[in-house]
Amino acid sequence: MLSCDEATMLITRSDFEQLSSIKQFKLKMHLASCSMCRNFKQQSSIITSQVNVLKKELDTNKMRVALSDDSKKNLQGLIDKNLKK
Amino acid sequence: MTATQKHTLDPNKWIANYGDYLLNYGYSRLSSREVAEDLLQDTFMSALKTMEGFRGDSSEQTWLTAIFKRKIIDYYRKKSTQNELNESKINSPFKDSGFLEGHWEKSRAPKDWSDRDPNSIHQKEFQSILEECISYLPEKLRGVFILKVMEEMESEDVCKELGCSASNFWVILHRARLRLRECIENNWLNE
Repeated sequence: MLSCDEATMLITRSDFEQLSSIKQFKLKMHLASCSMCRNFKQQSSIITSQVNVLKKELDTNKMRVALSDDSKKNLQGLIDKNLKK
Repeated sequence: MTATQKHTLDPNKWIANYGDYLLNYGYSRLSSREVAEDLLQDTFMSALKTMEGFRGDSSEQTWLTAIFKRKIIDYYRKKSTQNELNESKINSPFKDSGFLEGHWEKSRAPKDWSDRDPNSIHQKEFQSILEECISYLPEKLRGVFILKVMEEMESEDVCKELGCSASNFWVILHRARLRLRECIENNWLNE
């Protein structure tokens, strides 16, 4: 029988790669009797999908932070200086 | 675009055209505005140095973003080698001895979130908690999490870049997800 530590580790792996059928079976057995690890599994997929939402926001031009005028001036100064070289 | 059309570089417009985009790109991956601004500066400096090698196959923005991504990977590599991960046992939410060793400590076990579905009206709120909790991850855990989950890099590549073994990689990613989950739950359900 897997411990919860081992089971959640397998859940993490299974989100990114194919588990062997023995591991899949062991995980299934554990999840059948452990609601806490079932919660973990559900939350993990929520987190991964919400990270993707976060990532997509940037591609649709939703900006969270902006350069200050001082930062822009400073950066432009550096670019000018290095372009002259 | 036809095959003959090539992209060109115009450094004088970089800040106006891509400054805020790149800052946000870095901010979402580094959890710090200050670090993101530092690396943005490094990115422009590297770009100026290597612009002669730009062949015009990708857009200016794609090219600059790729350089920035490199800077982010380098940043996390330095952080990974600086501090060893020796808190793995200390902060575990699992019992470390006895008959139920490896099972959840009752007070830290995952609760049911179904009463507050983050895909619904609460999404904005959930997103800001998620961002905050990512920023609380120790940099070694955060680096692996960001490169794997946000950048969707191959596990082997993350290991190669950050210098971890394959088994260590899963342990680190696992610890990161356990911490993130717990942090989100504490802030999400208790609002």
